Amino acid sequence: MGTPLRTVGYVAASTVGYYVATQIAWALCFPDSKVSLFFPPHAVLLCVLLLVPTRHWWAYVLAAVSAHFLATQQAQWPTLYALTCEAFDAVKCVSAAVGIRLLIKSPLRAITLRDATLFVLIAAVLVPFGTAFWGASFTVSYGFGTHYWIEWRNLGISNAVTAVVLVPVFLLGAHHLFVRRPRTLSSGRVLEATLLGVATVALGIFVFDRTPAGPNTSPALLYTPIPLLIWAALRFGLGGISASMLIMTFQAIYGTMRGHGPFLAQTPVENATALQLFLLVTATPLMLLAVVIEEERRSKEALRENANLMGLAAEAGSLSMWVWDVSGNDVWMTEPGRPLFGLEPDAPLDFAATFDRVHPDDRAARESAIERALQTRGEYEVEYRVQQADGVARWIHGRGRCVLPEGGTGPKLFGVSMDVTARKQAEASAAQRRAELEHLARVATLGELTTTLTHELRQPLAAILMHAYVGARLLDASEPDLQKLRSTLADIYQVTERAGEVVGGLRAILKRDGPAARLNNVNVNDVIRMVERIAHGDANLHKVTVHLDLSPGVRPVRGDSVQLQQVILNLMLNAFSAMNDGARRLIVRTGSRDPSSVLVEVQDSGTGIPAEKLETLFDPFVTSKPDGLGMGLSICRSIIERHGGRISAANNPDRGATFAITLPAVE
Amino acid sequence: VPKRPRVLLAEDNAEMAKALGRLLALDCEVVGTVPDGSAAVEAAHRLQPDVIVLDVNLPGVNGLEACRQITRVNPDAKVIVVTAMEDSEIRQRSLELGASAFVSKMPGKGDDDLLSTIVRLCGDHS
Repeated sequence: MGTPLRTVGYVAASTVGYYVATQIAWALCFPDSKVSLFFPPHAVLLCVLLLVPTRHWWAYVLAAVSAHFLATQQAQWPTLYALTCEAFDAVKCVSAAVGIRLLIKSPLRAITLRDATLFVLIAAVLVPFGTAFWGASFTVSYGFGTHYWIEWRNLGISNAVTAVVLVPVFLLGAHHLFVRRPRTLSSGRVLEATLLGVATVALGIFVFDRTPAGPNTSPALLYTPIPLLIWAALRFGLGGISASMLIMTFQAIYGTMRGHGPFLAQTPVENATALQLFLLVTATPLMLLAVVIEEERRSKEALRENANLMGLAAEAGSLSMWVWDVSGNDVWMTEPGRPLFGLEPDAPLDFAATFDRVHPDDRAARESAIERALQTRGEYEVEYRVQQADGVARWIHGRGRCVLPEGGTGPKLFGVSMDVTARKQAEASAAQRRAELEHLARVATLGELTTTLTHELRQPLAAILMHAYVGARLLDASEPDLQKLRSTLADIYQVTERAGEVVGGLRAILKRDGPAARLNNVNVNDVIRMVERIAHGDANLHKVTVHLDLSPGVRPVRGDSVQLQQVILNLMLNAFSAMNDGARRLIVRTGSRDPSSVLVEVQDSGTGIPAEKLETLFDPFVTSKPDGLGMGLSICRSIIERHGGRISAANNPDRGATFAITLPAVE
Repeated sequence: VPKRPRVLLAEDNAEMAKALGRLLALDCEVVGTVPDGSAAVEAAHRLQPDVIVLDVNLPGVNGLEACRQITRVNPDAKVIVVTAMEDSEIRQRSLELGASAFVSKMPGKGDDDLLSTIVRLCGDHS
């Protein structure tokens, strides 16, 4: 609430306000009655307590009590009675303010029907009629009233009317003055408000001040302001109805006091009660109605804002949104969605229309994803191609959620579709580049082996030549040993066949392949045997003994055998380089840690991996070789991960390191 | 019938070992075939063959190293280092290390092929 000086100023202002309100209250007594129709000081203090911090309440209550005491002393009330009245007023206001503050948490501009109902219950029912039990008893005991229940009723209704008619006006006024930024109103709105105000005043004058009192006055007159009040509630909300009620209340009281209007049929007390009841039962439902309307307006506004935000997000993300009412087969789709599915702007939409354009190869996957979402009331995510009218396929990333709306209608599928063609193209070209890099790495690896490889390839040729020579020599004998000859020819056949396999393997490794992997069921033992043959010469050159410990029952894996060969070859050649002295022994082992995977271990007896390099070993450009690029292990990891596996390295307890690969086994 | 030379063969490649074995069996008695250098050194000592045929590329202890070890223990041992590829540097090294000959595995190349060399070496001493 700002500085202490400011608080003192507010307290002083509320004191003056309370004093003035007290004088108004007394002025609004019927001339020949002690009954105060309306008690504005109650509204002043209650509003102040609702607006200021609770730690300042004592100051405002004290100020109100002082103002009232001053007024009563000027009016020469008995001191003790005046003090009791002041205590009564304070208790009323404090209890109402406590109740409202505890139970109503919404800000004033966002009052809900629940809040408004609670307000009426606390400020217009419980507090006025509850405290009236005490108020009536001391009024009667001081001799200012004769009938306890009549006093109880008068006090209750008077405070209830005050709470309903005045408190909202004061609170909204304070809100407009201190809290809300001024809003420029359209001229149409100003004109409408002026028209409503003038009509209300004119009708008020006619009904309450120009109509003579008496038995000939029609009770129907009372209903004539109702349309204007409804107009105010519908078009101007709580503020509108509060202001209209205030105008009408003062006109009704003024007219009645001047002896005019429909409330002058019986005794002054009964007339007053009739007027109060009229105000109470008119104001309360209309205010609740205004609150409901405002609530509705706010939720519509929120919906509109939401729709705007969603539209903006959808545009920014090139998303199209759609809703499919499954039972009615009715599809709603945002405008950008139609071209995405290759649909004409005004073509009728149903689910089949989107289905027809989907690439035949992708239909089944999309269908089953959607089907599953519908059955489980869950979500789906799927990528598929859509054939455009010009024959070009576009990639769509679709995401949907099945919702069962409240109210028993059938399930609805809410979805977004995103054009991811550009991403897919980028992915494809990245895959293409990756494949090229891997191919280059393979060729480079084989390049390192050229000398030993040519030697290895000459081996079978030499063997064939030897067998042929032996065959020729056998034929030179006077009685050729045909059994031996046959066996020699069989050996030629076998060696040639196996040499052909190696050449085939080399060709596959050297061949430039596309980005798509050639997936087959691969036996890792075969992969390792082939690599061992290729690297055999290099092992000899490095004086390394290669030992294959291959588990015969190892399960196949789903993969690209050339890529897997590249990984094993890389690991083996790395291991050869790491072994410079001592027993140079390399063990390649296969097995499995669990039934669902296949394990390959490449264990060397080299220098091991420095601890600080273990973390980054598989990152690109990490190498221990002076002339290495450091792509080998990075490519190995990328290949193994594409196969759904993992690769790791650890130093052995004694010496050297072991690289372990796990790959998912074919089920 | 002249006594056939007793030959020890050291060759790691199984296909090659089989082919060489068959070739040698035409004129010699193959007393043993071993797959690596250290086994060759051990077998040469144990079997005392007339000729020891060592492939250059043997795993672990290679052909040249095995040749050095064998001729150091037995300077009279007749060691022939064989290769599938001619290499003058290796030829030079093997002769320095005590080999009696360095020949190509390929048969039928005139008088200096493997079988002729074995016959020549054995004839020198018989």
